Amino acid sequence: MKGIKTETLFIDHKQTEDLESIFSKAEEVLSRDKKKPLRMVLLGISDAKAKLLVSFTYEK
Amino acid sequence: MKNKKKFVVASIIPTGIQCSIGGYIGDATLVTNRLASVCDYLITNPNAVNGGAFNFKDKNVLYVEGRAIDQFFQEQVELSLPKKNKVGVILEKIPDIIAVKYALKSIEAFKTIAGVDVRKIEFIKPLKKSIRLCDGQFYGEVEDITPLLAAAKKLLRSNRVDAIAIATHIKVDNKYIRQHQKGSLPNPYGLMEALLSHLVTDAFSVPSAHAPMLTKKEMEMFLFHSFDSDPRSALENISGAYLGSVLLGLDSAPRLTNPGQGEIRLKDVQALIVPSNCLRSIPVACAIKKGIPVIQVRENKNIFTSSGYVDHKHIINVNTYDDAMREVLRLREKIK
Repeated sequence: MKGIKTETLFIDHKQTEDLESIFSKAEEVLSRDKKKPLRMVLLGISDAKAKLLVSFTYEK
Repeated sequence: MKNKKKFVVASIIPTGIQCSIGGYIGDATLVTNRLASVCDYLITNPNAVNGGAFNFKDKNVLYVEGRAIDQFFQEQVELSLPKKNKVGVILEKIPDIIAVKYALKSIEAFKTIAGVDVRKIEFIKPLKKSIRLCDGQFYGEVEDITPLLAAAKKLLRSNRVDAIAIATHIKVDNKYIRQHQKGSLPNPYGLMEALLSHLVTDAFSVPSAHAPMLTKKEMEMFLFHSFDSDPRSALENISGAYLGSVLLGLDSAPRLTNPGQGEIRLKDVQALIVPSNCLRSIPVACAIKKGIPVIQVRENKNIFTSSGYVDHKHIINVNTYDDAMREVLRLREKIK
């Protein structure tokens, strides 16, 4: 069975990293748990962390 | 005609972030059409032009589902030029018979009056959906999406439709609806609607869009208890069924093709226009990387109070959508 969820996700961020790299890293983190992103929005960057709002499909 | 140089601009107005223009249904139509008037084609997301029972987008406004816009900017898909689509509808069979009848009547109306080629309706059992409010934004959850995916698969395989309209009921606390109508909360339906259409587009690479079904009680609340609402929510107040805007949008939505096979490609896009402080999405990330100018419109305020990502040389800040239109004209003049 498959479902959809929305969560906030924190990923490590280096100052030199561009926006595309933030999304690639987030996708990588999600895929480790067999989650597939449907929507990703960067909420903010602070203390070397990027905070994203991610919605994804997951398998139960 | 294929691959003839076209002047294409994208304007994205995200749903669920309380945009001052586009935070209500259909209230970004005027600015979208104005921008389209200076382009060959303007790509936009359904949220910008869906107006409940109505959709007043101009013909050269390309109605592209949000997930497909992400994939287009990531060069995973390209777009065909708009052509007449065969549309399939997935309808949730909820216990409130009025809501189902309104949706069916809406399909009948837009088939008969507007000529939308609706080929088949697939009914599904109600999906278990929930939304919650956290830090001013709505979060969504759907427990089991299998029935939705199975219905979409059936429409595509058996009925060979080109686009899929989804109509489901999203249970929203009345107080959230009233707060939204008075201008103090984002549209509580927005995120969930986006997730359901993102899912179908992502799974089957097909244009799709979602329309909420309203129960009789909800219709009464929208229609009869809304006189002190923000005027921008007026289309919400007069729409019994929201499916019309989606059917009109999907009727000519560009189909999604594999890279190299489309008539509109990322290299045709000359600018991306976003609301204030919205440097935080996949299309923006890709546009910056490709050197496509990103125009940020200050007048379109929303829940975000900081820019999102750091300023970049490709970001152009303007005050109004009319200024954005002038920027687009300037860019067009430059490439002549």
